[in-house]
Amino acid sequence: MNRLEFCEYLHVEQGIVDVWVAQAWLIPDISGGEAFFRDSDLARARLILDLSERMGLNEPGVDVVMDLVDQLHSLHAVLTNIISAIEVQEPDVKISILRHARER
Amino acid sequence: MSRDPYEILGVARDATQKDVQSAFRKLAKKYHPDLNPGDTKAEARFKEISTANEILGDEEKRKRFDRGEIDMDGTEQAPRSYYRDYANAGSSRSAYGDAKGFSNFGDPEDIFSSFFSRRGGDGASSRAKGQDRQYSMEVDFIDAVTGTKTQIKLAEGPALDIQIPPGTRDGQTLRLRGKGDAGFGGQKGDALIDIHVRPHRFYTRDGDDIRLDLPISLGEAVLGGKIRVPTPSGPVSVTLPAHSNSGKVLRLKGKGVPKVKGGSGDVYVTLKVTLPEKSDTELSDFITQWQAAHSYDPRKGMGE
Repeated sequence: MNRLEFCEYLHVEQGIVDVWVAQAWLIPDISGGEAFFRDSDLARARLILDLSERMGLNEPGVDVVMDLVDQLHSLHAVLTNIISAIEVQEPDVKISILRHARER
Repeated sequence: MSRDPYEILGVARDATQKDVQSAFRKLAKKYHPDLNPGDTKAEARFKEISTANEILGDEEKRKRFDRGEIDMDGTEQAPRSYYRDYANAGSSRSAYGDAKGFSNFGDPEDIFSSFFSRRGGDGASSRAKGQDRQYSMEVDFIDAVTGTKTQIKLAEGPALDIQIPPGTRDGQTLRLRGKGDAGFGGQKGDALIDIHVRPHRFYTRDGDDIRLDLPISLGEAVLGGKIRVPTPSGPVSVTLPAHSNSGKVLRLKGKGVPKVKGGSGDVYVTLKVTLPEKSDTELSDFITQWQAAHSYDPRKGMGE
């Protein structure tokens, strides 16, 4: 969806979304000079609204949280991948991995 | 959901608005699904907290709740999708992926860094491999939902068959391995195809859910009955309860967009009571009579 549709969906002013993009809290696809937002950007924007409006964070606060959220989700995704990779291993390999993880 | 919002937020009935706000913020921090990606129960809990806050956080609504005029059901939150549903959709390779959390795990060539490709930061691996080529194509709304096979004509070479997977989203990129430019090391780059989904005449997409406005006749609204509702996978028959107003939302579970991990989203149907196209004296006469004895004010509570 383009910038206008995106703002209408969220009921926010276009200037606000420009700030979010400038802060790199949102990274839309740019094509032909126009920004295109995905569903994931919409869900992300709702998180930004929750933080800034309902939870009362100021701009630097949202900036810190978004950075940590990205780290958290990345760690979570990698951990999920690793756990499913461990799950398909032979039982003795699984046991060996888990034992090493516990002994660290 | 018909629990007590005071109980949900853990505040006394005479709590100040500031107490309510701070109770909500504490709980939101604990249960916001995006701040707790591993907690599967967080979403239901956060929805409940949000609904309670919707009532108690607004002085006017709080008074109405205290007088017993509204309850938690009347303030049900619209379904929404959370960022974690996308961030964890089976891959960490999103524009927002952030490998900082792994930099203490060893040198950057190690296993962990291979999980990430932050946008534009992929210079090292393209030295040996051919350049990726970017294309874009439009797909029909329904084809994107149900999936389809189609062809795309690339810059050179024959047209290529491509599979649009069910549940494809607007803005999604499909990767055709080895269909880009030839590389120095022999390995060809990939063709990246940006999918633009054309809007539909009456469906709109909201994550894995589909929304549509469904016109119903005055008779169907008042008396109820069986109606046919279109969905992307074919029409379904739905029994409309009597006295169904405009704006009422019906949920058709599992009739929405197929999800990557199995199952499907839902279809949300918003009813729209529609009068006959031409005015009708019989109807006007009847309503004139009926109204004389049954007047009501649907705009009550909207102020002057």
